[in-house]
Amino acid sequence: MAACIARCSHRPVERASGLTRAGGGAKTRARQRLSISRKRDDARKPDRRPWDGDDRADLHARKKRLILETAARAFADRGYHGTTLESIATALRISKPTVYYYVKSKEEILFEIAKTALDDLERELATRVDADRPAAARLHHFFRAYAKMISGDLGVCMVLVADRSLRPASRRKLRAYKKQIESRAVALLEECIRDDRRQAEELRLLAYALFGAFNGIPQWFSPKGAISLEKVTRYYLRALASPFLALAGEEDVTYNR
Amino acid sequence: MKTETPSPVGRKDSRSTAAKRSKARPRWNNLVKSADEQYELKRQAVIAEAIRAFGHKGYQNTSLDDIASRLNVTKPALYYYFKSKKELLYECHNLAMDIGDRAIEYVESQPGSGLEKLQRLVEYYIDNLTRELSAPAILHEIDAMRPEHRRRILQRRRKFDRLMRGLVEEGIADGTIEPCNPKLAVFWFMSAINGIPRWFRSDGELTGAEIAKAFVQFLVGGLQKRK
Repeated sequence: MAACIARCSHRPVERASGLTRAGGGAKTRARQRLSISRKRDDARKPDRRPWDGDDRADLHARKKRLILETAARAFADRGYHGTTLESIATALRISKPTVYYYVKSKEEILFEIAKTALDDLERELATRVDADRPAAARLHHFFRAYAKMISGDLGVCMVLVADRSLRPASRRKLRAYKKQIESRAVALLEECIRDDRRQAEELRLLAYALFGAFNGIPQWFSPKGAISLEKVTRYYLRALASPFLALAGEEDVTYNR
Repeated sequence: MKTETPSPVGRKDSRSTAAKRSKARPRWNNLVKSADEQYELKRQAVIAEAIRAFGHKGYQNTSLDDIASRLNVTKPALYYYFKSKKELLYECHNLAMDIGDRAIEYVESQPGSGLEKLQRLVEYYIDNLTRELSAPAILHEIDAMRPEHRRRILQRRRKFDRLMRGLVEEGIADGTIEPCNPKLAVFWFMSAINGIPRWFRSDGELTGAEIAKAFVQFLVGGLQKRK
């Protein structure tokens, strides 16, 4: 057993397959599985070592993400202060020092959770955006992506935990990221509601109201419930934004009542 | 008054004597607040400050020392009013729910359609929370409380939610509110409103009244019967 631990710690990359496996299992079986997957990899790419180039960076990112996701679930369930790094490590069947290889502190985990959630949203928004679509449809796309983000593990943790448990310095940093997302929503609203009577201030409040409504979703939403996330998104947008969109005559573009 | 509040024995005695005396003949001819009233006022001041601090920095990041220094008193002085930080949090929740109850009472006492009642409820609620207290900022801090306190608060919350859904149903029935799922309706507007303290600053460009006006407009626009 000691040999196993020593071996693993010298070859961190090999442990990736150990990380992804879901639950229990004897150490020997795990070891077998490790060696099998190694063999398969070797067969496919004979001249490539696990520590070569992109694979390694990719693995590192994937492992870090696993830590973040596990931590996010734990923080949301047991609270930030009720969760130890030790318990996160145990849940992933890795050691605490290994966790420290990926993150500096518990606070960094929390900050990274929120930041990764926002990065995911950015990516989602960037990939499937079609500038030719009407602004109202893009607004819908934005909030559909936002709803998806905040009902995922990382998003739930961001909304329920990060804001109140981060220390002021990290909170300020996070707020700067959020501001970027927020201003995109405001810009979209502006585009939707081409109406000079609406003050910029009022649009900002509308954006805040929308974000507030959506941020409440993790508190009651269950994917197994009777209402789908898509239905919630449609309903929320219709209730909050359509009285304004109607002014621009764009309501029917997105919402077929 | 507040017999469950733990307080040093000596204090309790002096208060009851004060009460007895005040029954016979008011001391200071009622020109100053009685000891009981002062105690309660100070206790409320601690709760109000705690809500602000918890809302601003988060419950876990706030120490009783922080609250004490904001009030210019010592930490031991706080223990005179509260057994622990947990109990203080419970009282914060109670105060938030009291605001909600008062709002419902106020609304039910006046005639009007379902939509009008909801509108008045929301006006009252936002006005209260932007004027002095950022009560909703502590709404998420539910796990930190002791189990029996948590149960009691959740019970009060469910009751409040039911009352609000009732108002939405009333509005649908009397034709002022567009037919919808009352549960979802309450979720969206209460979430939007409870999000206000996250970004509201009392020294910001907008006053609480302006924000209340805009949010009431969102509520009415979103709920009212469509033509």
